Formats: sequence, structure tokens, C-alpha cells
Amino acid sequence: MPIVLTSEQLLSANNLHFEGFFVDTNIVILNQDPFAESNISKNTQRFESVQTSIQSLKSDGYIPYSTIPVILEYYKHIQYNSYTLRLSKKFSTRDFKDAKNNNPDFREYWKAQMEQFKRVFKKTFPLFEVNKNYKNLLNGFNYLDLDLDFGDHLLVNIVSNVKQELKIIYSNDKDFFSLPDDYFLITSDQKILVQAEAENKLYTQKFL
Amino acid sequence: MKKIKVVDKLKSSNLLSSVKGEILYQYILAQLDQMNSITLDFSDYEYISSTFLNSTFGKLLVSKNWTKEQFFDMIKVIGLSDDDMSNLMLSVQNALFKNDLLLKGQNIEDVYLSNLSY
Repeated sequence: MPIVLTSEQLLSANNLHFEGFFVDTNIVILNQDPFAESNISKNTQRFESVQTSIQSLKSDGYIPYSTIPVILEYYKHIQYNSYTLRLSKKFSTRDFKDAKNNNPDFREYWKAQMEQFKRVFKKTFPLFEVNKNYKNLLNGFNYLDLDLDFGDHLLVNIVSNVKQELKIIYSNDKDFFSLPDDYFLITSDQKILVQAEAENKLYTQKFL
Repeated sequence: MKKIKVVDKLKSSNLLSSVKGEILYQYILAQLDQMNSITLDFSDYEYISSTFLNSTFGKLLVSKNWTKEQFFDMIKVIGLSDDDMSNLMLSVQNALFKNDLLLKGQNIEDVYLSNLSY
């Protein structure tokens, strides 16, 4: 289980020497809010806290890196939900392409989504370049694992091969609880923080 | 046309919260009671979030029941980066969709709950 801390704790920590961190897909979604979910009052605080923390971390010099698996997952999230939300229909790739080509309102909406999508992974969450042989990734994937799905597995695999100053993931997904002990996990999810405290894995318990 | 410098009005260059968005929204509403259009100058801002944009412009479009064209006729925006202009455009598109739902008598939260997946 990784050491768990909030973004505020990372900002105030004098004994941690990270240069940046890797974002999970849910953090990109919460920061970018592609479907304006933050306008629904019960969601506002959840989106706002991640947006504020990302900006605070960037202001302090931390680079929030994205990876190819996260970018792909984010794209699929936007593609699938743009269709199901706007058209209230079950998603099919063929019907999505048809809507994109023949439905002017949907095309205009999709254009706005893609304009944002293209920019997100240039400045906001720059892509971490990986020079890696991906052949072994499939062999290493435990599909019976109840926690990490394939996208998570790819992200963890990338992070496992970086220098120590970058071995830290920002996620509100409790599946990352299965990360090894030498990882750090930034989270704003209260359930993860409570569980980490119960298992003596909070940064404040281990380092302060 | 009145020109408002947003960072001066909100006394902050970090435009991240829905609270600040609401303040700007209320201010714009009051100004539009007296004039036909308004220019919002975002020069010198440091950060702007989707939550802020949705709380200001998204809410404005819906409360005024504007089309996209009416929105940009009434509200001129200057001083935003290209990246943040694309965020604003997406906020407008999402607001148009929500407005459409409301006009059809649908509950936004119910539609999102039924159709948005993670």
C-alpha cells in the first residue's frame, strides 16, 4: 500500500523531494470538467478542490504529467459521454460517427470538446515521454486483479520505471491502494484518506 | 459598452472558485439591467477554472435563455489565453445543452445521472 497524502501536505512537506507527479484519468476529468458537472451543486466542491490543488501544485513548480493510457481513457470518456449525454442513446461507434458527420448541433459540441482535449495534454498535463518496450506490458497484466484495470496497470508500469523524484500518482481512485509501499499517492478522496489512516499509511503518520 | 477588468472587480488573479464566479455573475446581471452589452477584460489573470467559467458564463446563458449568438453579442471577452478561450467555448456549449433540457422540462441532474458514465 502506498504512502497517502493530500496535495496540501505535499506543498508543505520539507522532507519530500518530488519534481512532479502523474495524474490518473479521474483527476483530469475533475480538473477539466468536460461536461460542466461542477454546476450541479452537490458536485461543486469535489471539482473545485482538485482544480485548486492542481493549480497550487503547479504554482509551486510541480509538473502534473499525463501518460498515453490516461489520455486514451480521457478521450473515451469524452467520446462516450458526449454521445450518451447529448443524444440520450446507447453508444455505438457507428452512430457516434454518424452524429458527428450529420448532426450539426452535435458536431459543434464535439468540436468544442476536441478543441479543449487537444490543449489539455500540451500545457495543463504535459505528456511524459516514455522510451519503453511495451511488449512486456501485456504479460505483466493480471486480468484477475480486482483492483487495477488495464489502464491503471499501464500507468503504474510507466511510473515504476521513472526516477524516485517522480514516483508519485495523483488519484481519487481507491484501486491505487494496491500500489507497492514505496509509492506515494496524492488524493483528496476522504474515503481513501480514512482507510490509509486506519492502516497507518498516511504521510503524516509515517513522516511527521 | 462598459468594460470591466475582472481581476480588479474580484480583487484576485486566481479565478478558481464558484464563489468568485457567482460574484461576477451577479455583477454582470446588474450591469445588463442598464446596458445592452458588456466587455469583460481578463488581462492579468493567472488561473481560471472550469468551475469559475460555469458559475459565471454557464449560469448567465441559462438564466438569460440566450442562444450562442446572443451570448457573444451581449458579452465580449478579451484577455483570455487561447487555451482558456477554448474552455470558455466548451462552458458555453454545455450551458446551451442544459438550457435546452430546461426548456424541454427535463431535470438536469436526472439527465446527467441517467446518461453520464464513469
